[in-house]
Amino acid sequence: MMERLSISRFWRIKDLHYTFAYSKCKKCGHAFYPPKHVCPKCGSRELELTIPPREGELLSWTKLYEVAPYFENEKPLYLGLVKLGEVKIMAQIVDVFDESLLKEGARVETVFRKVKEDGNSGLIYYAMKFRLTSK
Amino acid sequence: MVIFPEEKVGIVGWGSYFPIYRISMGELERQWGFPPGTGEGLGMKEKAVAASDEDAVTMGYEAARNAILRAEIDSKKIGAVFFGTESKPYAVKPSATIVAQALGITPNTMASDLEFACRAASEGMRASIGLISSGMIEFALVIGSDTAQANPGDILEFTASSGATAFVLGPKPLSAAYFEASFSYITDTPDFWRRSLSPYPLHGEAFTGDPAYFDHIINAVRGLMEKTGLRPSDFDFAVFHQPNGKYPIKVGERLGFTKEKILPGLLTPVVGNTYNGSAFQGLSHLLDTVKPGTRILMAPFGSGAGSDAYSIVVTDKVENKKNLAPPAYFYVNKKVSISYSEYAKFRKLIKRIGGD
Ligand SMILES: [Zn+2]
Repeated sequence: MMERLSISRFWRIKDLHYTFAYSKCKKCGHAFYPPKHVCPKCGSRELELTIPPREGELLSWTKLYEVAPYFENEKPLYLGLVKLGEVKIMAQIVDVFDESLLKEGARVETVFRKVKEDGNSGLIYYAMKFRLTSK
Repeated sequence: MVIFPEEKVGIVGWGSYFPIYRISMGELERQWGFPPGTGEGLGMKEKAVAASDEDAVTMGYEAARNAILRAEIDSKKIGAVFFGTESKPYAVKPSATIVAQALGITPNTMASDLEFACRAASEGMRASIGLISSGMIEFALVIGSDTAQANPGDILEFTASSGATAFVLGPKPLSAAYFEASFSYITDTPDFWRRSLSPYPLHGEAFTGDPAYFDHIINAVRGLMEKTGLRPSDFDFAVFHQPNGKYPIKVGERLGFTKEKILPGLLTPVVGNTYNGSAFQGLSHLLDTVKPGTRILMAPFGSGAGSDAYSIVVTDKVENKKNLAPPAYFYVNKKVSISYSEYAKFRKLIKRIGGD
């Protein structure tokens, strides 16, 4: 089964997927992800693409038992809202083997993983996800 | 000793990665009806298994990120990315470009995937030494990464595992360890192969041991010794390709290296044979732990077949770099045991409608 995601759309924004790059407004300082062309706070177009730090803090999380067909191998799917430097980013949390460690304020780090394979013959899409930092 | 061109080049940064999942030898024995102790007979305890969303590219990325952290360089300075793997996610479309893009190395760099069973990444290492010593580039990133395939139920399944190790090579003055010399030994040998559209490799039973692994490693190491005048007693540690927990000790014995020099760099019993990362993981772990002045012999091997022997000397720069990224054993110790059915799900051995 091949769905043909928009190859050009993914390619244009690959750096965002690969690094969680976000927009920072040069005028009002607002930082937001995913990046846009106009600052949603002050309307300025003077935005700077910035790469967030690797490590952040878990703000909240949820567990999904109902997932899109492709993610059936990864059920249950954990989604986390993470404060990464000055931005908040929502993405999958991987390698969760002890749910009790998923606490508000837990340290998490970015990790590079596959997000989707377009069937057996289409493209493979990679992006950043999160996992708990264990030291 | 003569000074060889290799001596201009060293390891500026190193890093490994192993997935958190482990399957025990007992689980594999029960699954396929092997006698208890089969895994132990191979010197194995457990092996690392990649999760559903991991592949050679994602694991190679994490090992490379650790190597770049230790190198303390702007990744744009890397002029070549060599990705050694026999489990590349695409048959055509380089893994090296994905990793190079995600690590901010692109666009002014060479990048390619190399294939030579388990020794492709070592070919990348020797090629990088040439490129750097000639002054063509300043830094190179060499990655060995595999989600090793094995036909379910094959004895190979006891060892074939998942993991990656990467090195940033660069000028000797910046290096945590430098190369003294290297030597390659290559022949056409039918010990192990996988045809293009076949999902699993086959091995030519009679060929895997003596004519392949032992013959090539022994000839590469003896070639290195002859070239340099070094003897086994000059080396503090020896790291050979580690397809299981037994072969490296046996080949060491034949070459005159004691077990004590081999065991510290032997990680296969606890993570499995990571193919292109196999000898590399041993060197990576030694760099995490040894003192300046240590001399290490490394000899990767790849079926088909060939081996390279390197003499590597650790410098005082190693100490400050150790703490800049997680050591190999951080990943070895971070583990969760899984059943064969979870393993089958992760490695996509279960056929489902819409599961492709
Ligand atoms: Zn603004």
